[in-house]
Amino acid sequence: MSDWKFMARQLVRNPLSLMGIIIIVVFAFIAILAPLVAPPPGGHWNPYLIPRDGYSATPQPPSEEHIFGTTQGQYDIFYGVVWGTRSAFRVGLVVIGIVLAVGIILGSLAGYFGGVIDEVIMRITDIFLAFPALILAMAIVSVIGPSLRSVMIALAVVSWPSYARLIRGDILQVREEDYIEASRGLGASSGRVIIRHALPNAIYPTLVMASLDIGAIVLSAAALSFLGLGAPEGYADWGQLTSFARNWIVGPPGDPLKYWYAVTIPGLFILFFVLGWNLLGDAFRDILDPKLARR
Amino acid sequence: MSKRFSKMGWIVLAALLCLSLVLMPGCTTSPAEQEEEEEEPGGPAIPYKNDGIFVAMTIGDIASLDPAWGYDTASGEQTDYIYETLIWWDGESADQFVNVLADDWELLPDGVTYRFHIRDGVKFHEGGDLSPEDVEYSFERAMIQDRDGGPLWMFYVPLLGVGGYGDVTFADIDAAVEVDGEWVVFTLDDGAFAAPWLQILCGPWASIVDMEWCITNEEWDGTEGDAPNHNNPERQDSYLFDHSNGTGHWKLNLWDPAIQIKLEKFDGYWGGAVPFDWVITQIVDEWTDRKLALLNGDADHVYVPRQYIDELEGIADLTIYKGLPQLNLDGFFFNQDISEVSTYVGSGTLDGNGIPRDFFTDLDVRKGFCYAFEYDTYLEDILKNEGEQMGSPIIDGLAHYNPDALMYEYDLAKAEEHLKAAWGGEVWEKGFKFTLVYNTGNDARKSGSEILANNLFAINPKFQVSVLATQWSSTLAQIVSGVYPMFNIGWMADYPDPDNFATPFLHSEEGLFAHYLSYYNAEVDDLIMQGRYELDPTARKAIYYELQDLAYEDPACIYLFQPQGRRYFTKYIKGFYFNTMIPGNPGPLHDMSKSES
Amino acid sequence: MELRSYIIRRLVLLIPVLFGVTVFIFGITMLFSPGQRASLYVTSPRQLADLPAIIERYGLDEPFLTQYGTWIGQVLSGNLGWSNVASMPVWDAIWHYLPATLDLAIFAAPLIILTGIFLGSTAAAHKDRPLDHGTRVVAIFGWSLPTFWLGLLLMMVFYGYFRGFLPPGRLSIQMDMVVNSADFIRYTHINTIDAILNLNGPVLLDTLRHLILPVITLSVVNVAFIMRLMRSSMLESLGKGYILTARAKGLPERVVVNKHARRNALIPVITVSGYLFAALANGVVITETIFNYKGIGWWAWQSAVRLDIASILGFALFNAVLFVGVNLVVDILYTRIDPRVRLGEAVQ
Repeated sequence: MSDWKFMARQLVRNPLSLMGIIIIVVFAFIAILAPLVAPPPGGHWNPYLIPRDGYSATPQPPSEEHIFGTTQGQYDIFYGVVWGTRSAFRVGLVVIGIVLAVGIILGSLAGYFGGVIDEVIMRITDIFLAFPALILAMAIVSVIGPSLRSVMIALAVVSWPSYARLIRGDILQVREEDYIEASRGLGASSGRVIIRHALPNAIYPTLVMASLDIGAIVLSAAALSFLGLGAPEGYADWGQLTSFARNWIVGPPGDPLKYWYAVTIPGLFILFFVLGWNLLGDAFRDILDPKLARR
Repeated sequence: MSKRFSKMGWIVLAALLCLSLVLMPGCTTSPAEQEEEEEEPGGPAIPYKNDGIFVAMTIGDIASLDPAWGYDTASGEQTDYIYETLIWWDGESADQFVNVLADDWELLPDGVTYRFHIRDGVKFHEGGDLSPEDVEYSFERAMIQDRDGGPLWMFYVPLLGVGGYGDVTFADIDAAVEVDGEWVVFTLDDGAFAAPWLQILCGPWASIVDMEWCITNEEWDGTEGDAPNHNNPERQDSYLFDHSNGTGHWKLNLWDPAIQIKLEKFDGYWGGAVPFDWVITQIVDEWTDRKLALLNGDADHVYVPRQYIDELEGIADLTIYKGLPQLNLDGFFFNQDISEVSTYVGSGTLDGNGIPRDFFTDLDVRKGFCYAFEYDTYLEDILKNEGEQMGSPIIDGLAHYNPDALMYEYDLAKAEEHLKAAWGGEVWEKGFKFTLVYNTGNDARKSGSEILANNLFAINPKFQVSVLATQWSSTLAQIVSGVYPMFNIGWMADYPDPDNFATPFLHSEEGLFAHYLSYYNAEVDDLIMQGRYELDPTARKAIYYELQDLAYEDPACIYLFQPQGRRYFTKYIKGFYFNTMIPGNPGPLHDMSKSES
Repeated sequence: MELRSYIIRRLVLLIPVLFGVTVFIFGITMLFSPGQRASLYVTSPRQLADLPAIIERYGLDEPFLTQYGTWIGQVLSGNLGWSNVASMPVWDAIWHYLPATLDLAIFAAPLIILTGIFLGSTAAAHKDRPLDHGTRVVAIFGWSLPTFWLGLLLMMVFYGYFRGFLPPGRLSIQMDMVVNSADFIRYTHINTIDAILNLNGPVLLDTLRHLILPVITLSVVNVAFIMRLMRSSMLESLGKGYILTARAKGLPERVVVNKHARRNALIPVITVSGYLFAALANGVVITETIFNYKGIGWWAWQSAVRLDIASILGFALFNAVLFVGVNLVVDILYTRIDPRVRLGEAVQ
């Protein structure tokens, strides 16, 4: 396991990945401390629903009461972006979790056993990959009914094929290695061989992809919410918050940038969050490249 | 690694980036104050563009150009420009008429026979001449088509006393509309429909089409045998779906679905000069695009959702018409027989975690809810003070509206009183939970639901109502299947008669809303029937006054507001006047004009 | 393997893929109850009473296989169904909205690829120096931008602040009249191409004016991706043996980079161009929606939101065919660029 230590040290030394890690850590703190930073109204109120300060539609600029201002419908932007951090982590981690699990299982089966199993699984991934991800996700969400849960399901369904393929490819590479032959020669079962030997070596590129993908997943989820196919109106979700700003990108004549806060603030949160993960993933890739080349 | 930034430098940079996010509020002190742009008095100038062309931007595409099909405002609007009817509304009046394709008409002493004399010298866009046969054909064709959910019940009920095509024979349809020389004769089923019939004749469904042209293009050929082939067609199977041939001021030039409709001037129009060479209606869903188009002179008229009216204040080059009395009413309906498969009722019993299926049959529950709604907040924030609260379906502008009718007010004490009495005190003790549903994108309904939910919670924390958005596509099916505990829906007038409002809201069988929400009050049903057929205005007034009282005593819904409308034009458009029955938002385009001075 | 038989084999494999795609989507739509699916045909509350009639008319409560079978039968006879969103047959709708998207794509795609290639090779050639780091940070930044947010910001600045400078939609009213008039022949419905073919300058300019912001929005995010790819593949090929040989021979660095490294680095870029198709397909949905630009992405979104099932299915088929076609072309291109690759070999 010195590989991991080596990798960790590399990550910290690389300035870009360090920046990414810091960004992610800051967001993690915001998410964890959300109930303190932006206390929800009590009772049965779902804390993910942004409290409204009135019902008028016009956004209000930042003030003492609403430090980031309010967006259309008087939803507090500060509350929304803070709790939106939680939503973002939830979506990213849950989807990646599912996708990794499914991808690893199916990819390993396809790669190790080959033959018919491989063909079938590959055809299935072909089917999913023949469709632009966002549009397929849209179709799935609109059928299940828009909500953050259906966004997670849709994104998981759409993303797993790439992982299955990746794992499969790596397993294929690793399969012919000597130590695999040796294990089999010693009588180890296929399952054991896969889990203990093939997988750990195949997993690095997958990790790279996974960390890059968290950012992409959150972006897609935000896009779906923006299009009205994700979190319901008033839910603390960055994409949803941005969609509120859609009608206020131009203020009254004479003050066209009046409602800038409604547009820029939620977008900046998305940008930085995704940036953090992308920096991390990019650094991962750099670190792993020489390792792969070593093989 | 670059030597310029040490590692520490990167860390600091990253930390600064994150901090800046948090410290942003500090930098956000009213950029509006820092704005140095001088506000021109009266706002920006709107340039004059597109001379001779009227450009309107709206949301929502038309369903069909076939006058017999369209039952939505967008379709009605275009039909109104392309086709004409026998008579038309006189200015802003809803019960005075001017002659259009008929130049004379009379109601015979028997009270059920109308005769209309058809004008001479009127031409269709494709060259045909208007004749009484065209008129007869238009009505009969429409009745034969009678598509599901269409407007033709408005012919069937007054003429034949039945609901639709399946209830009559071809001979009946034939006899209802006949040609007598240069006259067309309508025979009504009951004298009570004499006044509404004139109003119905002004609607887009009563447009006159060219018989020969239709037959040439394989529409109904006029015989009994061919009639079943043209009954209830698919939307796109009617030739008139996307082809037009009317007598109106403009003819169809191009329909680019979901993008725009372009109409061009009909030079052979019988009535003289046509005010615009082109009428272009573009479908623009984004409010910002529409706003900027209006302010840049690229559009003469746009649809302005109510929540954005503040942005167009104080602009001298815009003409705004406000306080327009629309014949609309929204209600927050109680479902008195919720379906067993409903997922919105929590546990389904009165145990504090749900509501039973007949929850709203208890009068105290309904009254309590009616008192718990903050009408003033809704009026101020959502309607921007442009609306009138109603106590019943008979709204202002309909005959026999009672301005002193009793209405509920926001009164937490009374709400508490009724809710404490509800279901023998169990409601107050145990509390309840259920879900309010609104259709996505409808801000007013969302806010209305939230107001109700918050107020109920304020009365008693055990009253926990959650609010959920659904797609419009799911909404209708779910209304029919009765799964919603409460639902917010509205009605728009087909024709300005109190019966047209009373029935859908309150009649247990025929009422669109009352039926699906299982509202039943025998006395109300009787009164509605009486009111429909009563000829004597005094007696009719008494009936509808009583109905309004009953609507208060046995509420079917929380009656919300009759909203007042607004219309926005650039200053270059003149001649607009408001008549609530004109289908299109831009209004009586044929009486309007556009000029730079 | 012979080219022709390879192509045939790939096209044959298309069929199970199409089958799978349609079964999947059809299956998803079956999750709706017949009542909900019927309400898609209904436009106003007045039609509430007709839902049972609608269900019967369209056979919405029949079992999955029956409905799927009916649909397949229709498709095979050339009928993709009716699009409610577009008010025309699905097949017509695809060709009705595609030109607008192509108008966008023919500017965005070359922009993305060329900019990506240029930036990527520059970064690779200056590896580990400030230029490399700089472009890398910019790339990652661009890659993290939400497309919809960028679009909104651009609109805020250019449409709102610089009033009306770059308006949304495809054409202004005056130009629209010109394009639809008898003097202007619409060969392809792609406005830029048609304008050139008709030698009409004002229309061309007007179209370009409307295209600037959408194209930028569409391109920024994807440039970053291609740039990274180009950089790493350039680095890989710069480290290869034949490069050392070329340098040892004394060839100028410029020749080394341009002639040798770049050519081989193009291989992954070709792959990526295939992915670019998918990326653009995703990107246009948002871009078209924001800029009121009604192309195929907008139509797909509306169909998804309004559950216009015929449209969704038709679009799925169309897209699957396109995607497989693009991949086929990409694979064939490999054999032209890299003589080591033979047809039929899996290229990882």
